Amino acid sequence: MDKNKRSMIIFALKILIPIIVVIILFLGGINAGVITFEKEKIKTGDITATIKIDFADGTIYQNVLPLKNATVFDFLLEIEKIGDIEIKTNVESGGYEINSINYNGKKYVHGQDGYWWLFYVNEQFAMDSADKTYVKNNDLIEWKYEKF
Amino acid sequence: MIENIFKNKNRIMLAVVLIIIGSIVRILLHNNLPGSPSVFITLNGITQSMFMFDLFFVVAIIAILSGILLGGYYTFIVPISVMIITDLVIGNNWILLFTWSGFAILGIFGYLLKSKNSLTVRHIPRILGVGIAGILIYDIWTNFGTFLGGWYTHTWEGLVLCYTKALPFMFWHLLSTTIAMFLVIVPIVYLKENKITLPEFQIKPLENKISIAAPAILMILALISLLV
Repeated sequence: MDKNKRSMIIFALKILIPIIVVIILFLGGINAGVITFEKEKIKTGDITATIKIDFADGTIYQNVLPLKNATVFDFLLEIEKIGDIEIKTNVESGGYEINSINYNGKKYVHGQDGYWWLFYVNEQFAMDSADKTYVKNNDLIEWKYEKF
Repeated sequence: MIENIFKNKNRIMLAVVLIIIGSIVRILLHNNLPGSPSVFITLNGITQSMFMFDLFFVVAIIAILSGILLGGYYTFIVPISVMIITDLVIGNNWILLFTWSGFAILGIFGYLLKSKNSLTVRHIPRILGVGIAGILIYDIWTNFGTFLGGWYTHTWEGLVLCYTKALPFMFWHLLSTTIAMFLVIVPIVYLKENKITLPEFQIKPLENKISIAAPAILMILALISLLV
């Protein structure tokens, strides 16, 4: 094999081998059930969780609610149903996003003056949207109006 | 226009062109990203979308290009200018110094490719490899910033959770930027070898040192910003 042909094959292999490795890892992930094409339907059953809203001005709302198969967003909607707060939401590409929360006649707007609504479950920041984060029994949901 | 800039070796004009292209593309695509595809990954007991779309690849390519085409100060001036302009429109938060320094690192990677004479068709695997290494360093660094920033508890579990949650972004960064490198950088390398001559700008040793030190200074500032 001449030198040119050999270096061409080595060049092609340097590109093809990583692509093949990625494809094998992806297929292996599917085979092992690590990679799926349908999100597992979560059934959390009857749960009781604490929901706490920190409005960043010293006002704190807290309630303990029982729900069934509920997400963080469902808990927020439940407080609205009770009549304690009023929320406005936007549908973003990744899910629901809070637009504003009204409490005691005051409106706390997402993004106003650098304050944003973020939520934590058991003190951990959640990267998924609130409507995709399922709550487990005795979880602590915290909504914080935080300045960045 | 680009041809004239290349001919005249007008470094500032080329930098402005890159900044304008990067800013326009990032702003235009900002509200037009599709939702995450229905591919999920379960790791560490957490199921999440495998890809979380964002516009990292736009600024990453501009950063690598600024390193390859301009070098020196422009390895950090160009990507950071794109970020400042577009952040004014799109918005950002306290993580900005981490992302800006991350893009400055990518610019340096592009510059290293040029200075090591790696911009040849024969070195395309190396170019892609360096690009991928740059993306990984960017993600490790910026997610470390997210961890330090207080979204996660400062424990080993918090760190693992932080990096697990960041995987969909990292997968998308690797996929989108590798494709973008194939579409943008590889053709430039091919053209350089066959048709066009890339501008060669004189870079003084002091400029060289400052441009390499800039990402490190930004990284230190990012860490300090968390303490203030």
